[in-house]
Amino acid sequence: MTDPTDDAVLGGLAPLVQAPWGAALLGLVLVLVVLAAVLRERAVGADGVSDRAEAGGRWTGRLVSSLVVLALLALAVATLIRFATYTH
Amino acid sequence: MSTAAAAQTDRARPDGGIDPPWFLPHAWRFPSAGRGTTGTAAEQRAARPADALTFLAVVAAAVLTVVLPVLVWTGTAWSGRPALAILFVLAVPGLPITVALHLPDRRLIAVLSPCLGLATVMITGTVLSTVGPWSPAAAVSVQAAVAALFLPSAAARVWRRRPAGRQWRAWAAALGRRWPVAAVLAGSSLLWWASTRTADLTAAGADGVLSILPWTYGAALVLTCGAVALAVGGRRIDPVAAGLGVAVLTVQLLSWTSVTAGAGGPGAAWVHVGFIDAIERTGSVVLGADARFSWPGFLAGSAQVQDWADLSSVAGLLDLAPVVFTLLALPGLWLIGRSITGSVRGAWVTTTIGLTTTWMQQDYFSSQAVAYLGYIAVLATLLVLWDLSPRPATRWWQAYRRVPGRPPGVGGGSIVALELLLVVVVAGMVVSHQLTPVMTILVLLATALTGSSRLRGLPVAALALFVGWFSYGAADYWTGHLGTVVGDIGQVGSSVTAGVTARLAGDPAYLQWQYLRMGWTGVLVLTAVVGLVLLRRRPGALWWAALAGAPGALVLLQSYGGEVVLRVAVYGAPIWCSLAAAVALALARAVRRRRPAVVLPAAGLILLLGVGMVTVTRGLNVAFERVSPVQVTAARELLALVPAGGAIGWPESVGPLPSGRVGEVAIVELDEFYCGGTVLDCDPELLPEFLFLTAPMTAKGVLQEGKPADWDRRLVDGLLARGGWTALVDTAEVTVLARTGGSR
Repeated sequence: MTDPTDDAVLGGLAPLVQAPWGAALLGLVLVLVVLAAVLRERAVGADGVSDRAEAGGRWTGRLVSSLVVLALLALAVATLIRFATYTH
Repeated sequence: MSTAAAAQTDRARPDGGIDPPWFLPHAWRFPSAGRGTTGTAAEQRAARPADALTFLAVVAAAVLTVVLPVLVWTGTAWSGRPALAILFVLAVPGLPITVALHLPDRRLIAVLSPCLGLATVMITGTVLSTVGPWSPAAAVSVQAAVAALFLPSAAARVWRRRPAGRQWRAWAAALGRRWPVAAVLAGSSLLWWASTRTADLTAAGADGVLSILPWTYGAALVLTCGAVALAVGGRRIDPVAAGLGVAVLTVQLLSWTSVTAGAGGPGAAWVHVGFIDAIERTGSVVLGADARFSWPGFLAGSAQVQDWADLSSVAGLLDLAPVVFTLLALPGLWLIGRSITGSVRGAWVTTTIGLTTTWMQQDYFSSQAVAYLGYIAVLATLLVLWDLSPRPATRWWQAYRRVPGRPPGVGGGSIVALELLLVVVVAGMVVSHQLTPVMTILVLLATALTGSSRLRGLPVAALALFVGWFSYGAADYWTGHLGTVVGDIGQVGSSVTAGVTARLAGDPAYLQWQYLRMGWTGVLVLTAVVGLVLLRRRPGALWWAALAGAPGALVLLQSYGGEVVLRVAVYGAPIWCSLAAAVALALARAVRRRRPAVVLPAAGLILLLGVGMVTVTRGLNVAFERVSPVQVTAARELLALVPAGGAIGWPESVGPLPSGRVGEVAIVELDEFYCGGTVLDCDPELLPEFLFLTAPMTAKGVLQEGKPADWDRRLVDGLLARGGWTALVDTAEVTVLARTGGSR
């Protein structure tokens, strides 16, 4: 494995995957998960069948779910970059 | 909703009342209920023994919330502080939070409360030891402050249901009527205590404890098993007697060796004592010293507890750790068993079967034992929700899209709060243990794919927490050798070889008992498969099958230092035991139809066989896992003697030597890799300044590595004859040699 400081791409990405950014990303995922849970409880009936969400609420739910997936993907990509950067 | 689901939801409490704890029956009401002197008549009618217990627990939690922080901040020395600190962790802030929230089943208080306290102390310990500044006093204040937020709500809830004076007396009288059971268990305990005073652990060999157990131990087990069988197998279950019996059985099975030896073990627990001492001393983790510092939650949390308890070392907690951890796990196991077997009797049978699978001995003072509690709590909560919730009908291939309903009387806010509590529990295990979060994620994925839980954000949060911690918190573990870390993925053959085949070596007699251990676990797995077949038409069968099989996926992921097969059995046990309990119940029903008089004696005998089996299999390694006070004293004095930067060699890594001065004194294992042969073959320049050798190390070499019986004497005599060494201590139990000339 080459030294990451010799690799322009990895050297440039390294500052972006430091702990503060990781903590922020993880915090974002958790906040979005809680938000998604609140929206779910508002949208899905107590019986698990009835859908009480109006059009606006439904779109909000989909948006938050998409953001959760995006944030998870960002965390995964950051992890892969860290693996590539620090495994030498 | 299906008929089965409807029947199951009957157990819900739409009135929002406080159900009795797991060991008390639903229907057990106070004789004087409704005629109390406090509260309204309606409230008094609803009061139950469980309300009294919850009331007392909340009062105790309130006292602890105030008293321990005051003692810590003022530095007051008091002999009761260790007990207060442990109770604080188990009750604060978990108890106020779980009582204040409207949990779908109040029995979950007993499961979630200790897990929340443990998770909180592990999270604050992790933050303060890695980010700083280290301040156990601040941590205890944070924990107390969180509890204080929920105490008013919890107090109001239990105050509304407080029992009247005569109800307390009636409850005490009802307990008093159990005196025959109490007498039997007291007699059993006396016999058991006598057995710990007369047994000689130093005489144990390849047969483990089997050859040294006094008759009093067997007699004690006969009495305890009889009491449990009568309480669980009778026409009507007596939950108080069953609870007492199972608790006594737990103590007798899991603490016999440590009580007999006078010190807890095994050696790995003493390594943790040393790590905790290092964090308490330096206020930070010792990165680079050991991979376990990359998951410091348990270690740093214990260091905080050591400070709160005003202890110089947590070594004293080792003796009863297996008992405490198992007793904390049993309520969760009870709920899991009740859910899968669909009966209270099945729940009790599950707990007794669970006790007989503890030969794996993963309940010692360790991060995995604490993380395992969280794993059990997650499983139990999901299964309780499943039981109580309406479930939309769906085809199995569309199950992943299903969102179960809410338990009757439980609002959306309570469900979100419960999800948050579980996220905290998972966060505690993520920063404490490497493997348990992976297993928890597998369980949550199996739950999501079968549409079995409404908490659909939980697997996402667990995955994010695990990836985030592994990537950022545990970087010291994988940096520089990621290839080795991920190299195990998919290596099923080598993982099984390392976990099974490689362990089957050593003394032939000892090997036979190893086969018995595997056979015992194999019987459990096969019985669980039969149980799954029996329950195949139940609505949750697909999910339970996934839960039972999920631990097997660990073998695909890593070898875990050659222990992954053992861990598969540990994580599978809660579901396997529940499925096995279903088989036991079916068998009992079949026998009862033909010969009803046989059922109870047969149940007692089978229980006795099971606890006898776990006694033998759990105590198989006692010859080299036992730790004696002499070893502890010698290790402490040697560690105090060695100058900073010095090193101590030991030919086998067992015993209490690594219990202090981590980062200051190196402990070098003088194995074949280090010496290129025996210690006598070692380059003299490579040998450390001191050599520590104990009788259990001798036994380990003989039993597990096939060394000659006198290999320790040959080593000591050889070094002394070679010159340059002197014996500081040379007894049958401990030998300490020191170099006398030159540097190494």
